[in-house]
Amino acid sequence: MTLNIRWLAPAAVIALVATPGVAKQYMSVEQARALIFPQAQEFIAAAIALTPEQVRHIERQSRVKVRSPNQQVWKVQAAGNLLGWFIIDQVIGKHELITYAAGINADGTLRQFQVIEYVEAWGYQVRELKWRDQFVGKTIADPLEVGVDIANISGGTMSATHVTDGIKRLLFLHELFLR
Amino acid sequence: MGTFVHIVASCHDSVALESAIEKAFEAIAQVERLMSFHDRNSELSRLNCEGHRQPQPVHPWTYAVLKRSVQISAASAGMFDITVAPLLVEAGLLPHTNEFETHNGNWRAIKLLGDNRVFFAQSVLLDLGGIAKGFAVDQAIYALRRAGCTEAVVNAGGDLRRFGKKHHPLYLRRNSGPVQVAELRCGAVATSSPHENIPDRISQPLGCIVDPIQQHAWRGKGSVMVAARSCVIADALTKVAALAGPACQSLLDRFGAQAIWDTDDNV
Repeated sequence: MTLNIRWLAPAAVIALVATPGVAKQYMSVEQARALIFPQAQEFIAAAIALTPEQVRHIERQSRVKVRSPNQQVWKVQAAGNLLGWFIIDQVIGKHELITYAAGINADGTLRQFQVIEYVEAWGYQVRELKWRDQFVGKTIADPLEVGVDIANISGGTMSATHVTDGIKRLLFLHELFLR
Repeated sequence: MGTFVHIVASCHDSVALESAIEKAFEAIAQVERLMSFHDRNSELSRLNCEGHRQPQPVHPWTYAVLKRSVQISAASAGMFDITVAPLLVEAGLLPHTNEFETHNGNWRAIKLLGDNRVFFAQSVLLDLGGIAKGFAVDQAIYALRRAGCTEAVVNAGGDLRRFGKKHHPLYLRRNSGPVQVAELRCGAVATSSPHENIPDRISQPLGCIVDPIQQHAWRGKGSVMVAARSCVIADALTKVAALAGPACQSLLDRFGAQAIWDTDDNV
């Protein structure tokens, strides 16, 4: 019951290994929705435009800088019941933007997040399940800090830190404006 | 099963070899008798008719395939789902059943009870097609190994498993001719490509992959090959790999599987 295979790579066959340094769209927004909320029946667009005061409020509470006052948010429902919120967000890795989707349960716990697009050469491990699974169930009461309750990624500290900050900011956004 | 099955094996003597191959084909026939969608008298057909009325006792092999299917459905957030049969019937890829019911459940409706009993919480129509074929290849391999074979390959139209000391070359088929992509010593591979239906090659016919979430046939290009320790896992994961592309890496990791996508445009 073991696997012993040796891949030979002819041109035009792409192997699974991620190629560092190349912009990679890993999934569409629809795929991220289906992966995070498989049982959802409705995604109701509920985009948020934060006022300068609300931005400051989130920054004070979360101690994370808010990059943009505009946030793409969807209310997720099944059979009329609120399942949670689906948010598309972007953070800077080291130099480039990371686009990701986060699902927050109705009770304010993090459901899961999925990396949609990643451009950096290093730190692409942020999209690995083992790393992402650390966030499942996190709330605003958790430290959400790399090296404290979130493992660092060797060679990808900036990506790991900024994604962690991003998730923290979204949890505060939920707590303050989506509750 | 709608495909040819090739078995190549070696054994210490020719009488033992003949009996080993006979046992392997018997295992494949047994899987077909239990899990064929086309056979009205198969256990699967009974399950499809009666499964949502009351719990049905099934053969341990059928139970094992259902259990593996549900596990992969859960792990892939429903991207693999054996309840897509109504879409395949609609597309003319599977025969109509006599049922007039609407099948509105998905894999979550499949309840695996104790003592190899199965119940459907909602009406569903199951097609085990690919995953049962993978399971049949696995059972054939176990039969060959039990019978004392030292080396064997079982290939059932796209699902292949082998064991032994030699390296077995694996080819992907392109218009320009076959191209070798790997050497397999031990383990299984399953390959799906949407553009051919030649039964004795590593491929599956057009439109066989249906996206359970989007509810339509896979229209992707190229082909995908998944390697895993068993054929049942490899076959199921080719569906997810074809639909999700490299985004399914963490799922593949979880099952110890590896994949390649052939993106050659002039395939």
